[in-house]
Amino acid sequence: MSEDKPDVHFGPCTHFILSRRKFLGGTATALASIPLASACEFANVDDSLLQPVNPTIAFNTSMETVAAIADVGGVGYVEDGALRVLLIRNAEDSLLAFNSKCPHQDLEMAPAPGAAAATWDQNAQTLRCAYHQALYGADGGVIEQPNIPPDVTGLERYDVEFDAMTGEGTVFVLGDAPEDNTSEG
Amino acid sequence: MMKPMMMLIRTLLLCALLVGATSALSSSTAHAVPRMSLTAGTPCSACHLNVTGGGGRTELGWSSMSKSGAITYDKMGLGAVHNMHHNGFGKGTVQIGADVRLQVAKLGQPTVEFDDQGQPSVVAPDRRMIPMQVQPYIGVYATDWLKLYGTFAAGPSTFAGNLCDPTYAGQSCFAASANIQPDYSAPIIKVGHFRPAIGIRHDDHTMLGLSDASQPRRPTIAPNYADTGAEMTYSPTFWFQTTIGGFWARNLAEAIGDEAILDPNSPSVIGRVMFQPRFEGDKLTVTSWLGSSLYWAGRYRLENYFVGLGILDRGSLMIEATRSDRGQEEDWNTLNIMTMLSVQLREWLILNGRVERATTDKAGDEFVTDALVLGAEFFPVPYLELRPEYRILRTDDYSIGQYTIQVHLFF
Repeated sequence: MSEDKPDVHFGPCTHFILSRRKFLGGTATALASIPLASACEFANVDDSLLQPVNPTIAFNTSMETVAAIADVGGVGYVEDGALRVLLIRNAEDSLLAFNSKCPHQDLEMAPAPGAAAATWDQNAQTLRCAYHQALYGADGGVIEQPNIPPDVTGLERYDVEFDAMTGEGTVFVLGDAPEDNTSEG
Repeated sequence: MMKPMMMLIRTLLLCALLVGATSALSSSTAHAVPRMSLTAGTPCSACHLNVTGGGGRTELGWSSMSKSGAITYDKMGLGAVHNMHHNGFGKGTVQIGADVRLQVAKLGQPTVEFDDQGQPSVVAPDRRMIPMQVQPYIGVYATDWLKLYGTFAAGPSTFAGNLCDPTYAGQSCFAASANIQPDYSAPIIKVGHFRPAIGIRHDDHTMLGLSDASQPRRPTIAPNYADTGAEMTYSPTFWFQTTIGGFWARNLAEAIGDEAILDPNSPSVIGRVMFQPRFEGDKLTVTSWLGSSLYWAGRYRLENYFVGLGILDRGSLMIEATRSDRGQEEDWNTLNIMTMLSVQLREWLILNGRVERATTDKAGDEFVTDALVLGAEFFPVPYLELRPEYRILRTDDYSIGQYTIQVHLFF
């Protein structure tokens, strides 16, 4: 206690009041910076991926990325620009086609370079995303939610034609397949 | 230009590793927030129950943070909280602690969506708030020479009844170890289920160091990765520490995901050496570390090299390089480099900036991911950290810039 400063106590809130100004000032500055940071946000993809897609994608099992579906239980994929379609040979006479992006965090499920391929269980007829373990059924519906939030609603599914004899097929990415021609769905 | 320089650094540091590993037997130090080790000038084990740093805090680690905040509890009239002496029971025999983190961020990546006519448009991922970590710790000083440590990392569905629910392959939902040190001059022997002393331990699992640019968002060494084994750490002097150890690499094999490269029943070995010279002047104290680790299991090999320079209570600069390969049979190599600068404005306000590059050569293809992160560690009150950041991530296919906020409660 110095002689020129009287020993006057204002209670424990004295320091709190003084510090609160600094605290509120800092908080206000931080809050004001959010719109600025928001304005600096961006999301781009490589120009080569920003191409229109065609209504259909033709394929055959002689293609490297499709070859695996020559066998029942095999998983392959076809792509048109940024759109990649996961193909699953789930039965002798049936082929499934899904958008290859897991809807949970838009991560790639196709067995492609730069991706952790999802696992198809032929016996259970389920697809397990390798990233956060979401489990989908053959209809694309969710059987188990991913193990971190948020929940997802299901895979985007496409009609597909497939001739098991010739190994040729077509995925209809912008609409339904013609009647009576679809392998599945 | 980069490759000759990296080869030189690798050669020098590998020599240091070999010299250190053969000169003594020992265990490890890694850092939950390596910046703190440099700006405080103490080894991680001074503040953490775990000798490798991170996790539960010692009485010193706890008390050094218990009064660090823009506003301390005594100024809010909470003198009882402010005057707590330690984080333990039984005169400090049992130490407890916890970390809880929430993150607000855009998870995922920009995608291309197509309208009915097949025309593309870019869609950014939604911003979400997710729980990142709910992890209690306990440490028991059983005797003068035996310390027990345990932690449990709750998963996303733990509270829904799924007790052990790791998010990433190789991740462990618990760690437990017995640390044996007959006296302070003797090596520390650590036995149990824990993370090997790989390089530097960071608390930000989005760092690219232990990732693979060809498999984004799927770290090879996941946060809370642990395997069962033993390590011995020896620190004959304050500026030198070395570690060797062996593990049953079951969880590492799960993360690798290819039994041809690493069988789940294979052993792994860890070697680590770290020099920590410190220079004390009249006005400044400069701290530093220089080290390297080698983690080897089956055909998988992970090398880590790190350099840190700090000014006591002012700031630090760290450079870290991590390289991995999967044997000559497999054309799959990674090289990840990170530089991080931290400036301590106040004890409760630290500014950080880091740049990272992850490169993977895989089957003739090269994958590159770059990251720039600018942010702050702000402690408004003790036991609470707010970490606002602006992050730019660029891969071969996309780029995204966003602000994120992490809320970290700790004790």
